[in-house]
Order: sequence, then C-alpha cells, then structure tokens
Amino acid sequence: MENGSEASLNTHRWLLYAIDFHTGRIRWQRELYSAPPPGKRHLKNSFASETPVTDGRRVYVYFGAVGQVAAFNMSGETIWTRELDVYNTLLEMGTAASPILHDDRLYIVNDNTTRSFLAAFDKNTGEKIWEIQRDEQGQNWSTPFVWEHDLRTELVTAGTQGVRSYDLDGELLWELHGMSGLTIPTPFSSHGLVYISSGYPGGGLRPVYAVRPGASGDISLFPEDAMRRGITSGFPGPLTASEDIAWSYPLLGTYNTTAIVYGDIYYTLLDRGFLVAHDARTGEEIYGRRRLEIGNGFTASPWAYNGKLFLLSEDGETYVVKAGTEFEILHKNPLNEMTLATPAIARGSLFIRTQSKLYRIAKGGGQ
Amino acid sequence: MRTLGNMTRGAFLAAAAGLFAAGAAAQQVTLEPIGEIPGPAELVRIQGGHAYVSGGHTFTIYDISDPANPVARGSHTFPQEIWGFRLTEDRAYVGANFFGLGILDISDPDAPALLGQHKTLGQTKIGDIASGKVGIIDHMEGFVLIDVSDETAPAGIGSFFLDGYARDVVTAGTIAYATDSPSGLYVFDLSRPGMPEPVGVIHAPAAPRDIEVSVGTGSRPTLIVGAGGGDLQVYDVSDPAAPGKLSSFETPGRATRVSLDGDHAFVADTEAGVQVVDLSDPANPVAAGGYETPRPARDVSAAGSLVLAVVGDSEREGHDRWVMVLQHR
Repeated sequence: MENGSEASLNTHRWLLYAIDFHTGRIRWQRELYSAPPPGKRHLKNSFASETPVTDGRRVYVYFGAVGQVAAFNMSGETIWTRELDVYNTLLEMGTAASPILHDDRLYIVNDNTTRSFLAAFDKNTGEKIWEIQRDEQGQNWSTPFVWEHDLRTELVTAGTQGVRSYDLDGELLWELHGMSGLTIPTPFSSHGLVYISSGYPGGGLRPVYAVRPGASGDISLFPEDAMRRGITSGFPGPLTASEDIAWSYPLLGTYNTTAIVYGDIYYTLLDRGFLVAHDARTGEEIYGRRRLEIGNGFTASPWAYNGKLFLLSEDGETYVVKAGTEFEILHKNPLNEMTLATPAIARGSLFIRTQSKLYRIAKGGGQ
Repeated sequence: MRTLGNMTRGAFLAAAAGLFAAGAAAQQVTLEPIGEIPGPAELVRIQGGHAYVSGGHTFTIYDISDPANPVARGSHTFPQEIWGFRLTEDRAYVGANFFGLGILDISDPDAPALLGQHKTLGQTKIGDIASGKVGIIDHMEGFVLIDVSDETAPAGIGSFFLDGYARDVVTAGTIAYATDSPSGLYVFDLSRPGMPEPVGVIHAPAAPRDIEVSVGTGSRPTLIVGAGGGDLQVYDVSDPAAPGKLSSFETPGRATRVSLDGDHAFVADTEAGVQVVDLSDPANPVAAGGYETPRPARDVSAAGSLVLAVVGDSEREGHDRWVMVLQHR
C-alpha cells in the first residue's frame, strides 16, 4: 500500500468535485492533472491537501504537488488555468498551504526547498500580478491569512524562518523571528489581534504570539538562536509581551492544529490530546493542560458554536467540550474512521471528511 | 549547577593528537578491529558472552565467546520495527513501534521466546525494568508504567506525559530515568505505588536522546550520561529529587549514542567513529582515544575488553549497517 514514503509510479488524478449540498450527490467533477506524482509525501499529507476557496461565483483550486492553479464557475466550466513550477518541501513531505482570496486577487504561498514564493493572481484572468521570493526552506505548510483591521489590510504568513506580514502589493510590513522547526498552524484574528504559532514537538521553541495591529520592522521577541538552543523552562514557559506583541508563550504552540478563540478565551488543542485555555486578550492562563483521553491524537483544528468546542480526533471521535473557564467533556461522538481534515461549516451545516466518507451534519437534517 | 568540562572541537582534536603523539593526560584506550557481525544492524548490546543485535524487525543473539568469530544463535522477529531494547540477565525489553513492548526470554540464546506484550497507544520506543515494573517510552503517552509480575499479561499502571518527543529510559535500583527531546530529563521512583509522577525533573532543551546510567559508589556520584542532543552530557542524579547537569563534552563528530564501562564512556560519534571519553572526574571529561570506523558509527556497546560498534550509512532499516567487533589493545 502506498503511503508516500516511496515515490509512486502509479498514475494519480487530481480532481475537483462539486457535491450537491442537499443530497451529497456528485454534480460534476473536473480532472486538472493526471500522472505519477513527481515526489513523495508525508504519511499524513496527501497530494491534494490544499483546500479550494470560493467567492460564491467561482471556485479556485491549487494543487501544489503538480503546480496546477485553476478557476471554475459553479457549473464546472473552466474560467482559467495556470501551471506553476513544482517544488517539494523538506524531506519531500509534500505541499499543503491553501490559496486565499481577497477582493480580486488569489494569493498563493509555496515555501519549498528550491524557490519559496508568495504570488498574487488576478482572480478573473489568472494573470500573475506580482510575485516575491521568500527566505524559507520548505518547512512550512501554513495557509496565509488576510488580516483586515482599522489601520490596513495585510497578508500574514507564518514560516519557520520568520513570520512576515506584507501589504497587498507584497511589500514587507513587519517580521517576527523565533518559530519552531516546522510551521503548520494558520494565523487568525480575534479581539483586534492576530494569533500566530508553530509547534514542532521536537523543537525547543514552540511559540504563540498575539500581535497588535500597526507593527513595522522586526518585532522579534526571542533571540535568533532560540529555536536551536531552546527554552529552558517547562510548558508553556513565561508569559512575555512587548509594544507590538500583546502576549506570547515560548512553548504553547501546536504542531498540526490551529488554535481557536471563542468568546474571550484562546483554546489550544495540543496534538496529543490536551486542551489548554488562556485569556484571548492578555494571555493569562485560565486552565492548564486538560487531557481529553489518553491515546487520541489530533490533526484537525477545533471549531465552536452554541457554547461548545468540538475537537475531532484522528480516530474520528469528536469530543464536545463545554466552553468557558471550567473544562468539562460533554459528549463524544464516534465516526469510526480516521480523520485528519478540519471540517467546514456553511449554511448551518457541518461538513466532516473522514478517510472514505464526506458527512454533512445539521440539526434536524438542515436545509 | 556546575557546568564544567566543556572543550571546544578544536581543543579536542588538539588534545587527541597530543595524546596519540606523546602520551596521555588520561589513560589512552586504543581499539583495534578483530571481527564483525553482518547486518542488518541498528542497535547492539553486549551482555555476558553474547551480543544482542537488532536490525529492522529482528532481534538476534550472537555468541561472542570467540569475539573474532561471532556465531549467530537464535533470533526473534517482531511484526514492527524495533526502536530500542534493554537487557537483564535473562530478559530483553524490546520497544517495537506499534506492536508495543515485547518481553523476550533470552535465557536460551538459541531460542529467544516472546513471553508477553504490552501495546501502548503510540509508538513504543524502549522499556526497562525496576521493582517489578517496566517503564516504557512511548511517543504518544510519554512515560508508561506497567506491572510485569505476570509477564504473560503485563498490566498498565499509568503514564506520565512528556512534553516533547520521549526518547529513552534506563533504570538503576528502583529509579527510572527518562529523557525527552527537547524538554529534559525526568526521574521516577518505581517503588512508589500508583500512577507515575516524576520525583525530579531537569528542563534541558538539548536533552540527550540516548542515556545510560552509572551507579555511584563511595564518593563517586550516580551519573546519567547521554548523547544525541549535541555534546556528550553528564548529569549527577545522586539525589533523584534534584538532578543536575555536571558537565558536557564536545566530541569531534556528532555524539549519537553512548555506552559506559567503568570510568569510560564509549561514544558512537558518527563520522568521527568511536570516541572514548574518560569520566574519572565526571565534572571534567577528558578525551581518551578512539577508533576511526570506515563508515559512520551509529551505536556502541562496551564491556570488558570488547567494544561493539554499529557502523554504516543512515538507511532506516539498517540493511547497509553492520557491527564491528573492536578490542582494547
């Protein structure tokens, strides 16, 4: 069985599916590429891990493994396609950072071992508007984040060599060094802050930063060699702040999952099954590690609604945890199949993708 | 905490060259090859007149009573890759990835027999025994404690989560020492009932991945000596509640694994072969010779006049690695 550790000689097909919201029926599918994969991949990765993105009129897809970018209308007609150069990441773990849309542009980050870049494309034509090189070495799988706040709109990218924020024309606004050796979680914003983290478990620095808007230049907190030397303290390490960083911890970052802010609390779901809660504004700890269940690993990121957090394990079990200052597991819902992908939420429905199935879950069946 | 004995790479080379040329500040250990054990090989241990070698999924016992001509005796193949093992007189505690911990009866070298298995929840790396309990290192759970009073049915007692990647465990007396990269060194007293809780912790971001213990005698402290986190590292663990780093020593290569024999640490130093470090004064380690292996040294085990070194390139399953049999001259 192929698990990505060896280059596959078998032909793979890169497909985009349109699935009916109500019935789950496949309405159309389009093949973008067909060939043996050009490289290997990590056991947990796929050759099509990038999530498509839509503006409601079109759907945009990027397959970094084979360099295909395309836009389709909702009937499955091709609007445009582009072919980008193909690169791999550290140890041929494959690509994963998803494309993002903002106004009329599609942005793609591809941090690889050869020529890392951030590029902006015209979403209507596929024409490249600009591209900048990035000083990264293929250790990142983090999707960039468009941060809109009162001062400006910026593209926040997380990377092992540094967090960098750019304006919409690719000019560097600020940078922040001191990440772990591999960077996966996606930056996100709440309470006027942007939260950034990385947390390779074998790294001596696994930081979380809550950055204030309006920063410029290098706003690094930790010395440049902190990643190599590590932090000589226990989890999560000392709470630290600066003019541009509202709060940070050196050892709170997660490996795969992205944290979530719900209410006024920043929840960290550690990959090996612990939940931690901090004040979203100040970083003060609300509760320390609470174990969900020994032996359950987590790759999918949590989501929240109705006063509850939902934590989907790699075994396909969703833990329902009461939101708030006290940790309490309310339910556990099994799907009995491996699950790595973060669910999507739309129109009152939850979409969960397990190894072989796609579920739509809604109260009373939903509409 | 004292931090003594650091030596730069250049100083090491200069010191070693001086020793080779003009006699020694430390007693020089000179090694010469006298035999070999064919691969695949990844890990090796000497005990009594036998060598215990793991390569891929297979654990094999060799008779080395004539060390120039090792003779294969029995073997046991696990369904998963062997990550590590530790030995007592008649048992091997083998960490075999998702198979869990396998307890092998090795009293008959011709027929090692699997007595029991304990499946941990993640990837089992290694285990060691004290006070009728085995401490297991597992990537998911951290330090896992099991009761092996019935070896055919090991029973889980509990686990203590280690913060980074749990790497190794070794026992002495009732104490188990566990190391985790990058969070540090943890000390557990296995004579205590109930769930494992560390009695001592030292946070060390460059904690060693491979550790061995030297039990103290007289004024000599109990030491944990570790490799795989950069320099060779020496910890004083005489007081389990207050472990402290005593010294570190920069070898010329990359110290990957270590074996202790008397006052000497034998270091698998990758491209620099096998390096010998004199720990007579553990606060001030001194270079004491070495042997330049033809391929990088990956593991080492020393006992008496023999030193076994796994050498070869870095292929995962160890097919291109073998064991060199070295002897003190």
